[in-house]
Amino acid sequence: MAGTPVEVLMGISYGLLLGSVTSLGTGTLVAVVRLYADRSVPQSVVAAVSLVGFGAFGTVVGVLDVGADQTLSLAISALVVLLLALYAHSLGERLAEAIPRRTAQTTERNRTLAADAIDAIDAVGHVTIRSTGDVRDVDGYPSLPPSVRVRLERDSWRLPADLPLAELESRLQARLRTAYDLHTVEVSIDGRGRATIAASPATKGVASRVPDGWRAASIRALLPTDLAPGDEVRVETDGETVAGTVLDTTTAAPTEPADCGERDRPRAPRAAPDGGGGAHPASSGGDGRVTVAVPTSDAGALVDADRGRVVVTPGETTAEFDALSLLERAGTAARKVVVDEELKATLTDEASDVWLFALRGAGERADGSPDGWQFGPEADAAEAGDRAFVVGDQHRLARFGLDEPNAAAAMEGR
Amino acid sequence: MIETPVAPAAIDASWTHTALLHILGYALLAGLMTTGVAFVYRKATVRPIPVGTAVLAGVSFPALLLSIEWLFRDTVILGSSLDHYSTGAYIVGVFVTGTTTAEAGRRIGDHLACGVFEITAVDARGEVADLVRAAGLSVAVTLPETIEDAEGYRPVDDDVKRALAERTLLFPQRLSVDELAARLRTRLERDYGVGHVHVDVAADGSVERLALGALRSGISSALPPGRAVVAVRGDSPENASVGDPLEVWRSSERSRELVATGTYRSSRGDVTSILVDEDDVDAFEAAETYRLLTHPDTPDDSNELRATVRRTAETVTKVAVTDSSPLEGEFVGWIPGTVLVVQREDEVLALPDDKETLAGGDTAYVFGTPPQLRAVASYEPESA
Repeated sequence: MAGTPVEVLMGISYGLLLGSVTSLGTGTLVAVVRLYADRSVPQSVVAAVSLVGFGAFGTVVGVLDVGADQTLSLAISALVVLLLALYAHSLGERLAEAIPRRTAQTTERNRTLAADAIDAIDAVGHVTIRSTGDVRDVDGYPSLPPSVRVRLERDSWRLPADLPLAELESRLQARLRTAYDLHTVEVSIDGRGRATIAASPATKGVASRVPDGWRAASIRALLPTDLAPGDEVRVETDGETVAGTVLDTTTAAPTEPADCGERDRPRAPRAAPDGGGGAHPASSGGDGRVTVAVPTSDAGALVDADRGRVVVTPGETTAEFDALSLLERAGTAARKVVVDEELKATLTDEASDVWLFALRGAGERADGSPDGWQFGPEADAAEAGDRAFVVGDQHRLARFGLDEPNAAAAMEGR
Repeated sequence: MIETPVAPAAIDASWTHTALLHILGYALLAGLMTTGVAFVYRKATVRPIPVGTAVLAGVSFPALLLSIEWLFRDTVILGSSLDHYSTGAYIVGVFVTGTTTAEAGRRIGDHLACGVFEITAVDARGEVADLVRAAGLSVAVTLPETIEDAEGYRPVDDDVKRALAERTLLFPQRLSVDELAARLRTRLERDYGVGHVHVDVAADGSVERLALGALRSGISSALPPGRAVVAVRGDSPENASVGDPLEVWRSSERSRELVATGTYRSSRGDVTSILVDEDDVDAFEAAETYRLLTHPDTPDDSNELRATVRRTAETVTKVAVTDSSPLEGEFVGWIPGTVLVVQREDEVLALPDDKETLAGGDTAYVFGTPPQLRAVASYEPESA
């Protein structure tokens, strides 16, 4: 009665039936172990358990007691059970990874970008967001100056793609407010990554930065590159010299705002990393006008004069900057070197003027400092091959150069 | 014990009729359970359930019921013995139709869940699509109530602190503590224009401490004391870079004279910005054009040292030693940290010897970790 095709049929049907049940059990077990014990149940264990289960069930039911002519169907069903069990094992692992872990913080479910936005996402996982075209004014607030409006319409901004739309909107709002110096910004981003922007400019931008009892006046002068708001300057006109603070600069030959922002400004304020210059871009140098805040009594000199000379004076600096600058003026220099025997001998020699400032092991990172640098180590702690900063007389140090060009060393020094 | 398969009374229309009905019932059960499973999965993880998981989960319910029936009634359908091909065909039928309805149920369940919970269904495949899907479930991180000023940096504006205090930010769900701290740092730096961010994130993902420092821009903040920057008309040498020492010459038909020496900063067109001593500034005339020459100098990595120091916790503090301060008369070697420079009236003592003593009127620059610098500060009777 039972031919091979029927045996196969029976084998597969038993296998499917028993296999589904056992794989449900083993899959759940694997997922639970992964989630709570963070361990992976080996596949061999899963296979063994499923076969044992198959055998037990088969015996209980009576299927396994039959004679030799049932071996084909039993073999097939065992195979099916095994395959399903292994499949369930991998499914269980994936399930455990997909289930969000419990954290102390609240989780929120939000709308995300749509599949259409995937084209705008680059390899780093950032989506490029552009304005839909028209930048509107906010009701009740002054309207945007045309230059800012044009910049907002043309620029694009990059934000991480794994944030929900609501968060992208709030991030873009903060970024626009900082980068373009806006007072109010309302942004709504659609699923395709296009932003509808309404904005109003900062009010009393210059006046609010002028201290009480001071006045702001503009004068033409030859401006140093990178002159930025906040710089302390001395303006010398015919006869008179006044000291004040820079509020704004414009150069006489303005290039397009976006280009000027990116090319000619080596040390831009970090408030505007992408698209458009910062709210107050540093001057690109050359002939231009500078707006300076000066005490009221001195403002007359600026008003009378046509042109002046701008001298930038030191402002507030950090103590570490001052210390290193004083060292430099005293003829002491710092060099970044690779330690060799000669240097080590010089360092341990008490009479030499060369002093070990910082040390970084060539192999593993030293403990403590996040970068691996140890400051103020003992002179004999330096081993050949370590990187070190040595400080001493500049001419003595000139002999201990780095072998590689500075650029490669700087990249490695991170 | 079954010796030979026993056929049912007759595999006739009524058997077939019952079998088909049961198959339909079980298949619908599979579909229904799969719908439920897919719905719950989408709700919990915001991602579509994998096909294998859904089908296997759905199909296992009818399988379970069949197994129970098999156990207790010794037959699966209508008296067909377990060895008979009719049982086999029946079971295979249940599974095949069950799989089909399970797949349909999975789609339905997924679609329902997206509708009910307003989840955006991203139909694409690949890593980028995964990234977008990950955005569906985010974790809310609240910044602390008081935001501190980072040591060694200029404090940020009050309105930035006000905007950030107790603000809730959303981040993707599965970030490690380090990743979260790094993303928070980048975010504050880019969106709020903060120069330096120091953040402590606890193991459970909450922010314990946030300290901000402002970025310095412009020229004044990078000028050493006693120096100034002027812009002069004069072509600088090709490939001049920041720090190159320059000699500024005035050239006329009759003579050449050295006006001043300085350091190159930058240039644009024929306007060069140079760093000179403040006393030399008056030597420059506004309307004149100058010639600029570079002279040799030893290489110097101070900028890199400064950048490295900035990245670590160590910093420099400036201490004014008055006649009455406890530091007066102390050996340099005894002071916690390292004394880099002592400014004594007009004299600058670089890297003073350990046996050097501090006198009243000195200004000492001490380098060390914050605890060491605090120890230096508490040497004095009143803290600054």
